[in-house]
Amino acid sequence: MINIFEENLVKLTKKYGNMVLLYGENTKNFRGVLQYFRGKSFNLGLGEQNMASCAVGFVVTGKIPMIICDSAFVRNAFSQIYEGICVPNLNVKIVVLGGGDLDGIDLAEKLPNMKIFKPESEEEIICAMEEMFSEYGPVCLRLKI
Amino acid sequence: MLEKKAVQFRLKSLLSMYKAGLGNIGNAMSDVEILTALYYGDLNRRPVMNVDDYLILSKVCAAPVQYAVLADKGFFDESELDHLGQNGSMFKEWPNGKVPGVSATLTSEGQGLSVALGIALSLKMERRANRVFVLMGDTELQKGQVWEACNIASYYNLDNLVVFVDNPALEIDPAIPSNIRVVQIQNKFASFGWDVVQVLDGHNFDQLLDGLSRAFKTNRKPVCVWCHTIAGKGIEFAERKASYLKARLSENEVADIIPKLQKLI
Repeated sequence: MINIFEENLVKLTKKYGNMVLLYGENTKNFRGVLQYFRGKSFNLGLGEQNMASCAVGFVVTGKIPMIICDSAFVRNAFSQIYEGICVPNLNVKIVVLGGGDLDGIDLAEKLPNMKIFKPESEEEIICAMEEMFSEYGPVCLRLKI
Repeated sequence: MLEKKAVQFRLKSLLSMYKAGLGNIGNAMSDVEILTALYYGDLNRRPVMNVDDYLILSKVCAAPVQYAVLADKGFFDESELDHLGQNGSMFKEWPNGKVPGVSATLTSEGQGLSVALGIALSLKMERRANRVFVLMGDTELQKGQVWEACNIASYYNLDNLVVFVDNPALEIDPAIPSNIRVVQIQNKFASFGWDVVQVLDGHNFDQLLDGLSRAFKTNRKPVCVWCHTIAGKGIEFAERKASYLKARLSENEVADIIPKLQKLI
């Protein structure tokens, strides 16, 4: 499923030129994409709270930040996502890799303004990714690895 | 000139905070001069802050002071300050991104440096020469998120990031010996790869502008401008008192201090 995500993301970069990729310690899952994001992708390490607040800064300057993270991200940076991203309704896209239902994606349902996609098949991933960028606001996309 | 401006802002923000019933007098009054120097100061006839520079107020309790400065800058009418903290008003006790002139919404301390880091990375990406200024309190440096951001800022060599740390060296809880802590934290900024500039009197405009000119000369490193200030500066009975840090002034105290401030304008 991650291959479909990668292919679709490369197509979407041509449409949304101001997309920025923020990632941490999980590059092995999407190494193929990074070459299309030269100068537009930032490795922010394991600091998850910092990554969530950093995305707010990118929105201030008119970018669309996309955070690729592990399932623990929503849980670890809950306060930063709640106060900084969801309550002001900012355009931040969060992609959670390999989250089980109890593993943080359930917590995201409690957040105000947050839209959540849990695609199960390849067609659903393509639809969800187009839907993700069509509207302004925070979105959480769960991807099974 | 700048001194008179600072007294004006102190008076306006004090009145608006009193009307709204907000506390944080001691915390907010200590960084009036820093905000005045940023918005109105000039170095070699160039303004310190250009029109498209960003200021992030990580010390959220100083928001009424920033509103007073922005009203004087002409972003909105001064009568709007009367609605501070009211239900349905956009003027909250923390910086609200919907207010003209305020860059980002911040509701709790410690997140401002990360937001500024995002803006600075984005400006570097577009090769724009603007700067990002952050105003932080010393107490919020105890949060871990600040140091996560510190590490990344020096990794990406963000020389467009200027962080003011307002250090009144006063804690609400006297159990933390703050004077010891301060020296260690300055060394921590340096060991993270930052340049540290000391301003010994954060209420003196000559020293503040001199510190800023030194901060602008650094190359390929983020800068921390460490300002020693006095909590509750300008309000005689509240200076250097921990009990006034989060206090709300009473009617008698306001009647006492306002004529004294008005004489200075």
